[in-house]
Amino acid sequence: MSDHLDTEDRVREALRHRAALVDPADRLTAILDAAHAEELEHPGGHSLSRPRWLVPLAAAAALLMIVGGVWLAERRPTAPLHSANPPTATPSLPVTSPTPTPPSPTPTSTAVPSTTSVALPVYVINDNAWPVSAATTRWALFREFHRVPLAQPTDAGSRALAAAGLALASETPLEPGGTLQVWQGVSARSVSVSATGITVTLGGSGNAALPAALKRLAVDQLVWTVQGAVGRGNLPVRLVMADGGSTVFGSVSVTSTFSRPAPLQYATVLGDIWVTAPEPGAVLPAGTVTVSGQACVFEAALQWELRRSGAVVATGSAMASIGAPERGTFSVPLGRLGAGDYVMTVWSTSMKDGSIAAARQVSFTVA
Amino acid sequence: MAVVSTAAGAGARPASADEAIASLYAAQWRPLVRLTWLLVHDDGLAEDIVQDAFVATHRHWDRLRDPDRATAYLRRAVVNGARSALRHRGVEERYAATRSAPVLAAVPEDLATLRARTDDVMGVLAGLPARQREVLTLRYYLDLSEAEIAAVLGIARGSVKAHASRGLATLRARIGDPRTEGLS
Repeated sequence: MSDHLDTEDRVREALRHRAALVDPADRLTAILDAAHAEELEHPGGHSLSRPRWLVPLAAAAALLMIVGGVWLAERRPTAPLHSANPPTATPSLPVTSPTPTPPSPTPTSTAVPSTTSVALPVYVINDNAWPVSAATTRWALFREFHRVPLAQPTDAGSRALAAAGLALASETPLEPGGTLQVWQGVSARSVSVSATGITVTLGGSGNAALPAALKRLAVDQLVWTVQGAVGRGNLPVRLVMADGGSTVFGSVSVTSTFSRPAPLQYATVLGDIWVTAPEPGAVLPAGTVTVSGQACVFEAALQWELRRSGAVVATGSAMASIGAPERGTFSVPLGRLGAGDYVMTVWSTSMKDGSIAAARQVSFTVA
Repeated sequence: MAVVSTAAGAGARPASADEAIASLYAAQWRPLVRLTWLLVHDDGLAEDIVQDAFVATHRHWDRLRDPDRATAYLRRAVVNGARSALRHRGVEERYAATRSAPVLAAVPEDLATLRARTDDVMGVLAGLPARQREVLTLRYYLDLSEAEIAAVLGIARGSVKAHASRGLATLRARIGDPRTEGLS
């Protein structure tokens, strides 16, 4: 058969045949996570981030420095394992606040690692319609970005460890007015990242009295968070209990790895509506404002309401780029807003009875 | 204060960077990762390079706006990313080592023949200078024109023609061509 193919045909055939064997993993979420984190780190649009494939080189260079004696006698683990204190020690600054560099520790040697401010994706558990609907709909994950100082050079493991600490310390609002720390008593001891997976070592065993669905969602919360911080798509996540146990929360087995579901199943885990911009609490300069986000709602139909100082100033409807079960994106151009404190609410209604099926609310200020 | 009611429909609103990237991703992620794999022969590295290209496109979306321009930008970014990765990470050695790696396990005879032909061509391609390899890959995998390849690589059309000609000549010499076999 090849006798009938000229060289160009053979090149075309070989390239297409070989390329067809490449089946890339889904990374859309990782791409958007990285893009939003970059926007927060470099709001002017001038990114100083290095190519993803250079990060291991930086880590290796740092390791060489350690081996070379710069940080001799440091109790550093062998890379790429990252250890941590309990999560309560992990600092978190609101993304819209100034980001002061924490004071440097008193130098005890000639080399003191410097820190850099890094924006990390952190998944939190909320009710799918909180705070718009008083009735509990379902628990779901919502993504936030937190800015934290990390010792340079940062790498996937250090970012994942810091993000895991933030996720474990996050609190879920409850009606009326209470909060629940789902991971109370559990800490992220270390995170290691390899080409084939992420391993998180946990201290503490978790609250065995939580409802089963909330236990599983909490594990998803940790998995999505460390995967987002690592930024390499749906890498399998292994949880290791520091006490040698085989379960977390008393009943969720950790003997197998955890991964995100297929994209069409994201609705079983993620909140139906996310507002990704502006960030909660953002202080925006005077000018036009556009609210954007993601949605997985029936017929892609969304409604929204903008309030300033409690008074409704605009309402409207919007369409996501695609309807459920796909997860689409949406944007609502609000035009030029005067100075003031605003609350934007985006929601979808149930086709069955018109009740609020999903909602998300974000507060921001126009200076 | 008066209530202002507006509607923001999919057709009326400007595309946000997220929307644009999601749309581009649906159309371009898989082909671009495959293209990049053909240049670097490393699954994870190919995904990393294309992911970085998408993040860069998101960053520059206000300037790009047009999906066609964004696609061209993505292609340039992944080819440049592949070249940088090969240069900086010593992947050339790994790339060369994989050029004779089997493509498929045990397969029926026709597939085995296809595999053998694929391995022959991929082996010769892997030994070509980087620019020739890039030109031939863009020409015969993506079916880009000389002008499009010139735009992706940032070189003159004449250079594209020259690289393609040299690369094909090497391939003909190594794997044979029925049109020239027997001729002296």
